[in-house]
Amino acid sequence: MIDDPPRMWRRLRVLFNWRRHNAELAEEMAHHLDSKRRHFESQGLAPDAALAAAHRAMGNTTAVRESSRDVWMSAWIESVWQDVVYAMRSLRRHPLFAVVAILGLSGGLGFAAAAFTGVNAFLLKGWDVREPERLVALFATSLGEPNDRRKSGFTLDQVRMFAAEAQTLDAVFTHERRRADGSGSVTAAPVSANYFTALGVPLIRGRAFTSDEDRIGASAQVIVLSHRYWRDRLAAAPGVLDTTVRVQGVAFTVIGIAAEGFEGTDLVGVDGWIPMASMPLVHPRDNMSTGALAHSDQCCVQVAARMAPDVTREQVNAELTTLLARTMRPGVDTLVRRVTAQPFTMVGSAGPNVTREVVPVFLLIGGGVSVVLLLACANVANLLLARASARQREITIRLALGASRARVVRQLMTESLMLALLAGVPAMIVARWAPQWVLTTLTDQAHALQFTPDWRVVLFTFGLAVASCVLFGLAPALHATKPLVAQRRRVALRSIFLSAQVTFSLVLLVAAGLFVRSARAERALHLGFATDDVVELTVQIPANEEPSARGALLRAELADAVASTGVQRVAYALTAPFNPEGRRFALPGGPTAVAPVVYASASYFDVLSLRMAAGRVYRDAPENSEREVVVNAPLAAQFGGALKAVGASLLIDSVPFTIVGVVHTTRDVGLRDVRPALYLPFAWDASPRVIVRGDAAGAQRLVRYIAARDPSLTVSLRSYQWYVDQRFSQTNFSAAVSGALGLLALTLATIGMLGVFSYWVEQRQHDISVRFALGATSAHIVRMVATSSARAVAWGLGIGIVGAVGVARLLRSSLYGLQPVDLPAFGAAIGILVAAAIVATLLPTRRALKIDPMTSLRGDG
Amino acid sequence: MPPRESPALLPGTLDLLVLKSLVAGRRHGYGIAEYLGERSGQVLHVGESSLYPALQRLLLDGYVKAEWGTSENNRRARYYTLTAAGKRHLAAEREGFERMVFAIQLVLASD
Repeated sequence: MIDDPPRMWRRLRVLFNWRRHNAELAEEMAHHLDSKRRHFESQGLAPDAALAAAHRAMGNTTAVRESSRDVWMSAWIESVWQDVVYAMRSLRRHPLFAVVAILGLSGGLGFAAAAFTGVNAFLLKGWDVREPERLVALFATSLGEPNDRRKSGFTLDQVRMFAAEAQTLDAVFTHERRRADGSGSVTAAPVSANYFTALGVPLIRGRAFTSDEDRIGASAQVIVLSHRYWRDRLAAAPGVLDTTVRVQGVAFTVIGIAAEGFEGTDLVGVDGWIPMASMPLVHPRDNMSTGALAHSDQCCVQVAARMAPDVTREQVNAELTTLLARTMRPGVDTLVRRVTAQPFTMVGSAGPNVTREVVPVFLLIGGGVSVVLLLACANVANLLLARASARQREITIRLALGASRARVVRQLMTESLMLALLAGVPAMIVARWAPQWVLTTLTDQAHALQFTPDWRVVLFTFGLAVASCVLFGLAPALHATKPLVAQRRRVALRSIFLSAQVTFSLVLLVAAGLFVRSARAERALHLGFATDDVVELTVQIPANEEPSARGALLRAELADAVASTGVQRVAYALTAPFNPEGRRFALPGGPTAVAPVVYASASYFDVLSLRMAAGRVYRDAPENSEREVVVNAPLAAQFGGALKAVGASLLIDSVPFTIVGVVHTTRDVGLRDVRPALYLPFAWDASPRVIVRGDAAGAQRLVRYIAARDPSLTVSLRSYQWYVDQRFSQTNFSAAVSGALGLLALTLATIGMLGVFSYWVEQRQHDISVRFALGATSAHIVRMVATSSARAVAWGLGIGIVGAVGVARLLRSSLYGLQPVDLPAFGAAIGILVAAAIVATLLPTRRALKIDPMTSLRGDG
Repeated sequence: MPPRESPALLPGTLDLLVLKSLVAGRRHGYGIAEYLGERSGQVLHVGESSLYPALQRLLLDGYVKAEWGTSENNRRARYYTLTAAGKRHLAAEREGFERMVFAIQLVLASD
């Protein structure tokens, strides 16, 4: 249809008035016929004979009309359009069928599209910056590793070299995640000075920091705030530049505000960005501050870069590997390393090891939603089979009239395509909102993930819709147009679909059962510390005040508040449970390791009912001049046991401490694994958390008292159970998602079974009537229905069990406290499916028993 | 496929003939068929199966215009008129046709 413009316009104009055009053509032909008739009459024929002669002379007017129409629109397009219109009309005439099919399909498609949206946001989509596809995350990998697990960052020397000498890169920048911080002050991510320019993120106020301000050892304490923080916490005050905020208690001057909508390049949004070099000021004890930032030849900082135009990632890899080789120190660096550049996406920036953890989760979810989609397709396929057998007469007539089989199949497939595309629309809606909803229920922090559908999600959803259309539509369409069909054949196809549905449902139900039981096992874990009736107050010092100066005052204030409100069991701690800080420790003469540390007042142990295995608790001295430490049992084991550990000496950050007591292992440092941990007295140098046991009312009084006495402090209340629930939220999430999928699968399978069993009874009406007439009892008929149903279901269960065992083995790493072949989960899943099958046979069996032999044998049935 | 009338026309000549029939003025479809049969001494019988598709083609190409009017016997009929582009095309096709016929005659006349 590629024409020059005038032709195209003429064509379009006619196509626009297609119906009128065709009517006019018909009228023109009629006039021609009439003229011919007159001609014959004038030659002397009788009127009837003249008309007949005119018809004969004209020939096939329909063919003429068609070839005339063919000039304007190729016949092929017209027939496709015909198919579409016919499909829509037939769907409208059977709304119930259409709605059921579309609902089932959009459920399957929606889940799949939602999962893909999540994958897209994590793995595929770049950040919302200028030309995100030109950004790469750089890693050093050691050659000779079978898999690229040991990916690491670079030293500052290497970063400087790349920045100076790499031709394939326009800009090289470093970025770091903000450290976990519970005190509510400003959270800031350390980044290099060219972060904003390299990403292409404009600043709406002020400026970013210069490289002068980002010098190790002499960094300026400047910060760029995020737009969200400025808007929400500072009320978008106009005079924000040159004011001070505190990050971890250290003062920073605000020099700029980033553009709206930029939340950083990490999973969780940050409040602002500080120079990389200022990180030792804020987190002096962090591994990076004492390591890579303090010594420019020590690893590792995370590096990303913007590629030069028209450069490929392979070129970047090659050039940087060569540059890296120059920094090899003979005798020291024995491993040959190369540089890999990966797309700078969520996972790319989160670090190499996150990929390892995250990808299996995605595969799991992907597998689950695929199975649900297959189930939905099987259901729709059965529905289509039922419809096709109802339309058998129509289809046979069309075939007899000369339509080719391909044509009829094409028409049936167009119907399936309409169904699939219509189902794609609600699926897109689910895909837009479900991941966002899931994320907001899981965590209440701002996040930088973009769930808005981009072209990839749309393409995926509708591509999947088309693929599933082929999947569920082709077999029924081919089947319906087969010239002669033996009865047995027809049943076989449906049985296969049904067994497949049972198989898939069983697999999903087993997976759901495993996740649910694993979640319960985890919950039943003995935490080792009290969680019921424990309430925590977070007392936040205002963001622009120096915490260590406030500390002493705060201690006195809180002591006074506790005394006045009469609260008995009170302890103070720095961090929340499951979220400790890390410190380096070493046995004298031994290697250094990192262990989580709980900073808490001496009363912590009593308030949370932590039991001592040996020794005593340290004394409550903020400066801890005595250098006392309490260790837990796993750490004490390194000394040869709890009793031997008491009194021994331990180096913490190279400072000798004395172990005064050993506490029994608890899980306040981590949920699943038990590792060595340290307990140190709470030094009043940061915002404390006040832990109150057994007196919720007292805690409320405490809150009001503090708020009244010192309005500058922000006090909030939270139960310890909340932390436990949060920690479990991930396993709860898996259990909930798999439960939802399992439930959906069960529903789809039951509906499918109901449909097929009803169909069988209908097909066998004649058979059943004859049996009734010959004297069969109800029990006999029931047995007949039951056996045929049972066979299909049994096949499905059999294959399903095998599949479920395989899946359970795959899931082994995600499950806690269970064997893969967990009998209760398997048993429950099988039992539920069998029960559903029995329920599904009830209605058809009833209908079978109600068959009146007289009516049905007479042919009215 | 529209049945071919005898004798077979060279491709494109039907369009040429139809355009020629409109030089004197507007005609409707039956009128064109009548004119061609008359003028050719009843040798050329243009059937509907080729005439109407040809007219549609000419409409698409913009060589003719169509409008509804009343025919001699007071019935509604569609009348076709030559456009300026059609006139030019007619001249060009005529020239091409005559050259073709001349070439064929040369071949037939030689040994």
